[in-house]
Amino acid sequence: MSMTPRERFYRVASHPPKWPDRVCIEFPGSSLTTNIVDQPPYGYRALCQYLGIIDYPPPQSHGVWGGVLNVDERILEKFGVDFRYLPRGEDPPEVLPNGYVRVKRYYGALWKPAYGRYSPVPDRETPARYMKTVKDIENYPYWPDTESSKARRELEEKAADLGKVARRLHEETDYAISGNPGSYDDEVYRWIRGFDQWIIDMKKDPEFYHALSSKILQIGMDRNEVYLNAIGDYIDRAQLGDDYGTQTGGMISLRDFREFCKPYHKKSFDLIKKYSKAKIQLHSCGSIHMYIKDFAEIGLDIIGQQIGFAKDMEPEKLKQDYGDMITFWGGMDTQRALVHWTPDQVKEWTKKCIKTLSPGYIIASNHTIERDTPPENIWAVHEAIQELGPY
Amino acid sequence: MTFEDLVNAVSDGDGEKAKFLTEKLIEEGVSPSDLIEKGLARGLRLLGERWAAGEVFLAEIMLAVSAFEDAKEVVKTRLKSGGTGELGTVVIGTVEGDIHYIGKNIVATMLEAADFKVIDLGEDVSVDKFCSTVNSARPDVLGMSCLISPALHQMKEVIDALKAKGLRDRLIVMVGGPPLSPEYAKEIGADIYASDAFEAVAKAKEAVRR
Repeated sequence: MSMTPRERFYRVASHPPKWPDRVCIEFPGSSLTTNIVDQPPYGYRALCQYLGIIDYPPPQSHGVWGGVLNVDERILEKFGVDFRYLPRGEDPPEVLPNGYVRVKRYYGALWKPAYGRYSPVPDRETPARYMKTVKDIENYPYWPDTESSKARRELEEKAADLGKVARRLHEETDYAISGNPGSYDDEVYRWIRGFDQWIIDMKKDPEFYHALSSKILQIGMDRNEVYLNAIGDYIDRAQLGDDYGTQTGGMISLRDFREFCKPYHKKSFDLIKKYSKAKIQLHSCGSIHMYIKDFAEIGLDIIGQQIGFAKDMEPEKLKQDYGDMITFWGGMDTQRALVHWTPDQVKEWTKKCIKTLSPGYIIASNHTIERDTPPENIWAVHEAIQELGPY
Repeated sequence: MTFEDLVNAVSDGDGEKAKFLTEKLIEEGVSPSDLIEKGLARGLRLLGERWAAGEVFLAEIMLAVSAFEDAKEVVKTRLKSGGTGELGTVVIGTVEGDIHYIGKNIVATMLEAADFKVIDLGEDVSVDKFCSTVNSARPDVLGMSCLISPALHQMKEVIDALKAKGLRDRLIVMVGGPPLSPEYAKEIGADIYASDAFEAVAKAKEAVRR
């Protein structure tokens, strides 16, 4: 029996997962960590050309991350992508005289030019590094105004506009609609204060750590409460991001995670659940096996992305340890497999991921598909899905 | 107070305590090489054992590396000595187009602790910069780090340029970073692939002793 993309998504994202008609697909996606860049020699344009699509609209790339935001509908259809995306509605980053950009959405975080787009600045150049006291946190100049009536009105207008888009997508399509109402992100802490200081604050000055994290959470919740009120009924997936893994293990101990990170994510998840029935999905780079059970406990439905390419992230291990409690997303490695392997090797890996992780699996790239990925390898993922056919 | 206290201060990532104990040991007349070898470096080696056992994470390693550097600065300032560097010289950097540095910095400090002299070229290092430094410093080991796949080709370009300039023959080239594999390292002509800082130090020590 054939299912709509939305029906398919809800089946794979239930716990324990239920079998849909075929694998749920978000490849190549068009969201912040499942996307493709517009950079030669390959990238988005090479993929369009490979698929014979020549009249695509000019690609619009994300201001700092570089992924194409307006992936042509024909590409999403060809690959059978089950998701459609709400615009993120971010202000363009402010370009500074030294070529850096400052991002309002991330509370003044700075990015510097790197490999054809931008990368967060080194720790020593982060804007909130000087902070020492709770008073410094309050006086930080890049917190957005979420309280004045003018700011509130503007926020409500933006949210209402986004709500109209969400409602139209919900009512006029049968795709799973994806939004981004996450209120807390440890990455933002690191972007404004530095990765090293995130750890030093946590270990040496927990009071300050909690004060800054609480501030980040509160501002996020103030904003997202307005957005969720407008889009909550129409989104099927709330896509959130953070990073807790390195290639070889977690960044912090489980004890530290429970004390310094989990409570903030719980509040962010609770707010989403208050306004929406959307399934909650979190991106993290690296090896995150050790945190998955804790995330599931606080209501996370889907987690990704570096399946198969970081310690303890083998598909068999993930399925065996957590397959009943959470859905997995990712698997198509953008650092090695898609870049260096042959199309046949990519196909073999794709089939292995689907066979091992289904039914609780959404096939997606492990992160941004970079400019070094040949379109043949991107298409090989689709061919493997076709060769496997319905479940 | 013993060396053991200093070892624990470093491995626990307590920079203030490590500095204080280093000062005290200097006042007691302990030599710079003993301070580093029996105290500070042992602290990092102990951490390596805990890392291998899965007891510590990146956070603890960063704090310990920072404590090591703080205390080593005291040794340098007070005794005008930063270790002998007797194992050899390492030139290290993140390749051009990539500005990631956390892993590279940890490797650099661990190599210093193992008694290598380390010349850290930083991030976004060009092929020319790697080659000219190898030419002038004549290191035993060149270490290159990369986190993003689009910059990975730079490693091969550095190795090819070193060959073209006749600088490759007696140099040990060590590479590491998430987009790499042992096979890729071999393919581009590197001598050592290391998956983490502890492996990098062990393999570099083994290579220079051959």
